[in-house]
Amino acid sequence: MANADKKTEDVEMKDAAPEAEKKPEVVPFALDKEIQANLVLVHRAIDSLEPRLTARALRNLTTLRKHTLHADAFKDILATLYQKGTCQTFLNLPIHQQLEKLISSLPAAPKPEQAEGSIEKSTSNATSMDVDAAAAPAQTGEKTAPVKEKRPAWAGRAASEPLPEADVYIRLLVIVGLMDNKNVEQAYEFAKDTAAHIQSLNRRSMDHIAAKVYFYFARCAELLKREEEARPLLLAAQSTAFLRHDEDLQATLINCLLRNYFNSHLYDQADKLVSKITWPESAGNPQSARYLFYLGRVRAIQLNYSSSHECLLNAVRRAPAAHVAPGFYQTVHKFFIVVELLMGDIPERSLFRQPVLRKALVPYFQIVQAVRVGDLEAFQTALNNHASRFHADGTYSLILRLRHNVIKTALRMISLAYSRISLKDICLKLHLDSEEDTEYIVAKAIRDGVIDAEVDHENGWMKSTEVGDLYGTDEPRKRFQARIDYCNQLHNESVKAMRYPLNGPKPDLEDSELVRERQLDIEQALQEMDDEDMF
Amino acid sequence: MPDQKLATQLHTLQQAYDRNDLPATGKQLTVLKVALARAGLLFPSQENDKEDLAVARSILEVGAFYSLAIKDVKAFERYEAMLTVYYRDLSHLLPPSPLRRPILGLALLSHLSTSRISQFHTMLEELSTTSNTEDADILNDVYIRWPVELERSLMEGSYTKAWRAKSRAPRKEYEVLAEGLMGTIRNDIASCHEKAYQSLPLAEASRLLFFNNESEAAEFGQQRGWNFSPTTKVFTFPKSSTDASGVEGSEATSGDQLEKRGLVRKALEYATELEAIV
Repeated sequence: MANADKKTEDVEMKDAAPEAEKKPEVVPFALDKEIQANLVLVHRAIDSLEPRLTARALRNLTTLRKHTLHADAFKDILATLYQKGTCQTFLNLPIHQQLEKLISSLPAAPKPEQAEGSIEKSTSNATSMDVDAAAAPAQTGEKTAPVKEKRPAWAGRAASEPLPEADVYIRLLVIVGLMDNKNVEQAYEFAKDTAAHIQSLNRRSMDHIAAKVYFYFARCAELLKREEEARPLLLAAQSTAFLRHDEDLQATLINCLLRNYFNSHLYDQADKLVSKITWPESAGNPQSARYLFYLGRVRAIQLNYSSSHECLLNAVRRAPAAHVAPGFYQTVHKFFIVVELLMGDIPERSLFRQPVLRKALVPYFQIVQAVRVGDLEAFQTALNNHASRFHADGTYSLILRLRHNVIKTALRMISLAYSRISLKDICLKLHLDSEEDTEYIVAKAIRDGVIDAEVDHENGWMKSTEVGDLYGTDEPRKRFQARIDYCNQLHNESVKAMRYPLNGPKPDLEDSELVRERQLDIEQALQEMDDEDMF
Repeated sequence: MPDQKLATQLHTLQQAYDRNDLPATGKQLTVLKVALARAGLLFPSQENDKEDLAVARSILEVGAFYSLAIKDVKAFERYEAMLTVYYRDLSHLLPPSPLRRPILGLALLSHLSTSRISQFHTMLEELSTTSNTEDADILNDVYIRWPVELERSLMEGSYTKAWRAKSRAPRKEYEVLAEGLMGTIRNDIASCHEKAYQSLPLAEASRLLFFNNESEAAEFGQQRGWNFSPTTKVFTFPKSSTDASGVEGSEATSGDQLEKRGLVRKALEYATELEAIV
C-alpha cells in the first residue's frame, strides 16, 4: 500500500460521501458548478435556519480538494458574487480585490474538454442540488440582469453584497487552494484575517464554516512551524467559542490545540487543557475520534493505561472505516496495541491480519510476540531493530516501559508451569543480572498480583499456590455484565442520536385503528388456539 | 541595559555557594530575589535584557541547588518551575545553560522520590521526543540517565541495582533527594515481603531491607506491625484477612448473600432495559 504510512491527520477524516466512488472519466468534474451548488446549499441553510445544509456543503470539500482548485473557476463566481462595480460597501471592496490577488496565484484551469451535458452530476447529492438550483430562480424575485441562468440561486438575493456565510465559504476555498499549491505563507495570513473577520461577525449560522477555517489556520501554522505564534489566537478563539456555545468550533479548536501541544511536546499543557474543558457531546464522530485519540495518548503518558485503553478503543470505533482514513486507523492502532500490552493484555492475532494494518504493524507484531512469550532477548532485538520507527511514531518511550511487562509475563508463565522452582533457575531463564534481584522481582510480582505464589527464603525457591477453578468465581458473570452494559450503552446512545424531521407525519388515527384491529385479530387467534388445546 | 549590580551580586552568591557557606548563600539569595522581583525578572518576558535574563537564570539555578543543600524540596520545586520558563520559552534568546541538565535530572528525581510517577513520565516524554537538535542525546546525558535508570530498576523490582546506584550519584545535590527515595524503596520492599513471605529471619530481613544492623530492622518491623519472636529471631507477617483460611467459612456465606443480592439487582436492571427497548 503506497500511502500506508501517511501521517494521520493528513488524511481527511470525512465520512465517505458517495462522490468517492465517482469515476472521473465517466463524469467530468466541473469545479465552478460544484462550488455554485455548494453556495446554493449555504444560502438555503441560512434561509431555512438549518445548519445541516451547511454541513453538507462542507462535506464535499475533500472532493473539491482532490481536483485542483484552479483560478478560472473562481473568477466568474467572484465577479457575480461580489458584484464588481456595483458594490459600494467599503468592507467588501478590499476583500474582493484581495481575493482576486490571491486567486491570481492559483494555477490556471487544467483545460478539460467539457461537454455540455457534463454538468449533470451522477451523484445523488449533486443531482438534487442541481434541481434545487434550477428551481431557485423562480423563488428569488429580486434578481437583476442574470448573467447566467443559475446565478441568482448561488449569488444570493441582495445582489450588492454577498451573504457573509457565502463570503467566508469562498474565502475558505481560497485558503485551501493556496495551501494545496504550496503557498502556505499566504494561506496562513489570509486564514488569520478571515478568522478575525469571523470573530467580528459573530453569526451562529457560520459556526460550521468557521470551524473549518480555524482548522486550516492551525494546519497552516503547523506547516510553517509557527505553532507557538498561533497558540494564543487559538486559545482565545476557544474561550470565545465556549462562551458562545459554538460547539462545532469548540471541538475543532480543542483538537487543533491538542495537536499543537503534541507537536511541541508540551504534554503537560495538553493535560491541563483537557482537565479544564468539557468535550462538547454534540461534536461529530471525526472530531470526537481525534479528541479521544489525543486524550488516550495523554493518559498513556501518565501511566493511566485503563483510561487510555478506553479512549483509544472508542477512538477506533468512532473513526471512519479503515480504507477511508487508513493513516488515522493505523496510528490509533499502534498506540492501542502498546497500551494494551502495558495493561498486561495481549492484542488479538486477527488485528494484525487486517489488510490496512498488516504492513504498518509489523514492528509492533514482533514486540507483541516477545511480550507474549516473555522473551526478553527477542524484545530487545525487536526494540533495537525498529527503534527509529518507534521514535517516529512517538511510541518509543511507551515501549521502553514494556520491559518489566515482559518480565512479568515470563514470571507468570513460569509460575503456571512449575509448582516449585528455585530463584536461581528463574534468574537464568529470564536472563536477569543477579539472583538477589530475582528475589525482589518475584516478591514485587507477587505483591502486584501478577502471580499467585510464595517465596521460601531459606530454601531459595518460589512456590506457586494452586489456582482455583475460574468458573467457580463470579469472574464470568462480571465479564458478561461488562459486555451487556456496553451493549445497553450503545443502544441508548444510538436511540438518542436519531433525528426526526420537525414536521414529520403524525401517527395517523386510521393507522392506529388498523393496529388495534390487528391486535384484536391476534388475540382472537390465540383464543381459538387455546380452545383447540382444550380438546 | 544590563544590570551591573545584579551580575556582581551573582558573582558573590556563586562564591558563597562554592565555599559551601550555606547561611551566607541563603542571605544573598533573599536579597537577590527581591532585586529580581524589582527588575521584573521573576516573571520574565522576551522584552527583558538578554544579559539580565542570563544572570537571573544563573541566580535561580544557584537557588535551586541551595534549596536542595538545605533539604528544602518544596523550594527546589518552586525554583525549578521558574526555571522552566527560561529553559523552554526563552531558550532561543539565551545561550544554553550548562546547569540545565542537572536541574532537569533533579526535577525528574524529585518527582520520583515523591512517587509522582505520572509527572515523571510526562517530563521524560517531553525530553525524549524533543525536536531540538542540541537535545538529541539528552537521554544519554549522565544527569538525566541516572534518574531514568533508577526508575527503570524500581519498576522492575531490581532494588539492589537501585540501591547501588545511590553511590554513583552524579552530583552531591542528587544525594539529598536520593535519601528520601531510599525510604520509599524500603517501604516498597517491605510491602512486597509482607505478601510474598510467610516468615523471614531477622538477619535476612535486615540484609534485604538494606539496614546496617539488626536492631534497626527490628524497629522497622515493629513499626509495620510484623510479629517478631525474640527466641527464634524470625519475623512472621500478618496475613491480610482476604486470603486467611481461618475466617474463610464465615466470610464466604456473607459474600454469597451479597452475591445473590447483586445478581438479582442486575437481573432486574436488565429486565427494565429490555422493557425499554421492546
